[in-house]
Amino acid sequence: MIKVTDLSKNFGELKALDKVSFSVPKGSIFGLVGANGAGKSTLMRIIAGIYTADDGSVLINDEPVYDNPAAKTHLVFVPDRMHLTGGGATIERMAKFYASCYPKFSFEKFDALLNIFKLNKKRRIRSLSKGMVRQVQTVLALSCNADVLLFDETFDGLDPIARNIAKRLIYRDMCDFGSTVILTSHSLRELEDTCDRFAMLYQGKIVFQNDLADAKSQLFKVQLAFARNVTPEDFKDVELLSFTKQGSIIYVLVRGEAAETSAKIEAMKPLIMDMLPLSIEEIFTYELSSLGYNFDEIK
Amino acid sequence: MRKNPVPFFSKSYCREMLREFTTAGIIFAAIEFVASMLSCFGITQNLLSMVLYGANVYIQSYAVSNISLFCFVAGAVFAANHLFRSAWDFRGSIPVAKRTMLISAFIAMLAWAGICAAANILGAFIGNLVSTVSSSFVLTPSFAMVAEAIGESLLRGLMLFGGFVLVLSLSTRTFPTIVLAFVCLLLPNIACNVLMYNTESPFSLTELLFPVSPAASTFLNCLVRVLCCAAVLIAAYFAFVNAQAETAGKPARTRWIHVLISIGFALTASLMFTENVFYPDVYSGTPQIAWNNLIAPAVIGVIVYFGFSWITLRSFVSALKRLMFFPAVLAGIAIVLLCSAAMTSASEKIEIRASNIEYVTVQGGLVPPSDAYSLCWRGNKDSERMKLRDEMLFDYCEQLSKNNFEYISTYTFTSPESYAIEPSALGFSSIINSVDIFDRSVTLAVKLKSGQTYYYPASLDSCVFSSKNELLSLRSILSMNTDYVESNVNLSRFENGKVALPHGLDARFHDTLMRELKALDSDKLMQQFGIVGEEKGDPADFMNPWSFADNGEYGNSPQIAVLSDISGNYCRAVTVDENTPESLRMLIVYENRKAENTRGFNDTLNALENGSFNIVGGSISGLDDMFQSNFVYFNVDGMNPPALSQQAYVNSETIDTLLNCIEQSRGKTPEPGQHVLSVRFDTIASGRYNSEIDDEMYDKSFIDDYGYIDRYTLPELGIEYSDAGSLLYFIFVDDAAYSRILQLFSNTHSGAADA
Repeated sequence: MIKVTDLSKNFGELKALDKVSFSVPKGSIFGLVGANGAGKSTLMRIIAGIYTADDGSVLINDEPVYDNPAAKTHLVFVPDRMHLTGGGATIERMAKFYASCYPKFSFEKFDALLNIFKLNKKRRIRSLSKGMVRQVQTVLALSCNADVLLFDETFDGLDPIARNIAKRLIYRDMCDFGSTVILTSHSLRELEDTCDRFAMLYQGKIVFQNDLADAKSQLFKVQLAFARNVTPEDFKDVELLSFTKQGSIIYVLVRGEAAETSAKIEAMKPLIMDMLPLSIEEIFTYELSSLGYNFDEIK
Repeated sequence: MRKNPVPFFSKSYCREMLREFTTAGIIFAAIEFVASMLSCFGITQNLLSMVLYGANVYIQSYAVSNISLFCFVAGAVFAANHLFRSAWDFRGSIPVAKRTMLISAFIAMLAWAGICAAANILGAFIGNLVSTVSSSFVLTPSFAMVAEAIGESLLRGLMLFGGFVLVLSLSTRTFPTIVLAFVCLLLPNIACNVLMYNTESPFSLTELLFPVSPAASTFLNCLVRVLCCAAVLIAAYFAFVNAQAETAGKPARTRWIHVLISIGFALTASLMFTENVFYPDVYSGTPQIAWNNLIAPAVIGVIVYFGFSWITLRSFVSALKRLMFFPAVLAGIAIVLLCSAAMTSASEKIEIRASNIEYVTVQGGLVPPSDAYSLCWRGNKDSERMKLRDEMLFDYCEQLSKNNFEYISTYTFTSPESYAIEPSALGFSSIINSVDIFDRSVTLAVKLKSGQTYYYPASLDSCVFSSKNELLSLRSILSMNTDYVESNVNLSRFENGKVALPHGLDARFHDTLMRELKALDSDKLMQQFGIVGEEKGDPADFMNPWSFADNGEYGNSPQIAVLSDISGNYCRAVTVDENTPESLRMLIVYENRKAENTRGFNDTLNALENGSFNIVGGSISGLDDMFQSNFVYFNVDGMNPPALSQQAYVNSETIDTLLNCIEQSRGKTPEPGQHVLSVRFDTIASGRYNSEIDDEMYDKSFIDDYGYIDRYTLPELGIEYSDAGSLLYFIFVDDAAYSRILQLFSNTHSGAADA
């Protein structure tokens, strides 16, 4: 269980984080999204105990993390840029170092994961490509069998196959060991099929957070066609978020309970009515637009 | 919130750091081993240390120790591996606390330093072993010196390591790394030097604050070094533990660190331009402050401080405001200087004052290549600053002569150049060492109007003064020699606190000597008495203080310094009375016994007694009235060139008398009432006088101005020379015999000869 409460962090005049609060239950994958400079990495570093918070707190299993080696044994952080000890370290040597730091490190799992990625543990890490280094990071992190895994932009540089493997491995780890995972990305699509909870950071604030299933059950995109001319005012019985008309076809985005909303729209006697699947990106865009934010930069 | 205990040490992290230091460790251990081994042959000692260490005189003088260089590199590796954002991310997230990291890294570094030290000692051991087997004549550093060098080097190294940790810890706060390196690496060293030995000033701050005896000063210097090192390490520890990974800190926190670093930066630059801030008064030795010499560093400091503040704050007005801190710092420094000078002045222990000085004699300084010199002048000019460099001496004497001071060249030493060159055959390093020794050798005599004369043979060994400037203040000489006995004879620099004795002197002698040394009153005139080992030569040459190295050995020649209250600057023997130190009498007996055991002693004596020689030359000297005479005796008819009759030679009765005295003194101890004379039969030759050669030639070349026979010119003169050896012996005679000898030698220059 990760609990972040009123977390604030300033870098001089810059407010990197502003009263950020959220919690991640045990055995879930939490996605943290935001544009570049939104504060994702800063938040991850504070959770990992690298930075100190100016205000607020971070508790992992009810323990503070900063300068607390005992608490950190339950946590593995995979930063966006990897640093390895010793210039000429091999994968195996790094594994030994991790094993000496993390008591639950499993060499069997390590070997198995290396086989999945087809990595040679005798190779020097310096000689690996960026994507392979990411794979090594992922393997090492998962081999630690830690309670909490923090991945900061980990999927960058991975090819699509490796990316899918990594996602599946993380998901499997969560299922098998009940790990709590936080992933960050600036891409919503990246995390859509992995995470079960999301938060969006914007200028140091969490502007939106929700359970993905809840979000999807509350928002609907409906394709409609009417025999008569329909305007947004005709949808006064439902919570209309957007209204788009393309010829005789109308697309509306509505919020509400599924059956009730559907019944209300059907009562308007449309000629055609199709409930369309909604992407996470659309959900965020609409939700945040409704809050007055402009997210043109988020693709 | 509960907080878990943080372990002190992480084995895994330490292991990792050991690996990180491996490359540097192996390289430096190898260098240590090779250099230390070869230094025993005087080959690479300075070559390596000069390449790797610059002109570090300390290392040049005694032992190769690159441990501090290893620590420097280790510190750089440690800093480099922690400096980047990614490194902070990695090390910040792993379950190892920062202080555990630092301590583990420190222990790993120490472990490698230990390996380097072991390599050094092993190298020295093997080198010593090989040089002993091959009987190489080299100045091998003792293990104690190597250990001392290693300790010194390690302390320097730890300070550098700590400096790097400081750089690393503070550079995350927007300070340029290069500035931090300048401050954190240089400032502690400069501060340490200012405290211990300011290279540009005759006094160190510690000397001023705590004017103690030389022995205690050595300890104090060690203490200062250790304290400086500890201060840097403690600062590094807290800086590292409290360092934050963020690239920008809070402005409120940054402000005081900014001021601190700025002041440190300015002080570092300022101190680098400090020169001759303190100087000693000529006669009293009281420290004086050259205020004008503080102006330039102060101006430089202010400019650097302001410039740095302007650049880093990017605001002229803010920099101007910050400038207010610097005068406060300068004022603080000035107060410390004044206090220290005042304290030193108040606690001045030297009683010699300008008003009661009759004259001062200084001998030594840097020895010119052709000959040595000795200068003497009279005067009591207070404001003169004495700089004992050779050129300064000459300048000084010139000034004195202009001011009607009596400037006398008293006598000339035998050129010590040969000693400087002799060991150099084995390497460049030896020349440096020898010159170092002579450069710092000064004998100073102060004669008071009351008649007392204080001799201050300043054996400024390079261990103590190698890092000191070349200027030897009168005060430093006086203060050093106030405790001369204590610091040179009776202290721990000798093995186990005992005097290092040549072979043949037993514990009884040692105990006697120690008892007499302790009973010596320092107000009495001190005169060194040197005993050489197996080397031939004039013992007077070895009476100079530089002959006595720290461990009582100079090269392969065992020596011992004995202080007695016998006057005379050139005497080799003394009138024995009830005041004669027992140790000196024992030494005389020892010398005779040693001479008797010399190979060929009996043969030479028999040859002299039987008259089976053609020519003999020698000298007799000693006694407190400076009696000394050289003689030549010709034993063959025809070997009596007329011109030589005016030169120094004696008759057969003289030789017989001397031989008789030798016979009577053998196996005996000088008794009270007896006179002790040193008799030397130096050149004993056979051959024939070549009467075809012009007598004038003999006059010019055969016997030099001192009456010695130059054995090397004998073949040129047609005289066959056979080295029948030489003989040096102390004879003990009563008053009657002494008078007879005086009478015999009084005729030496009168041309009385029996040829």
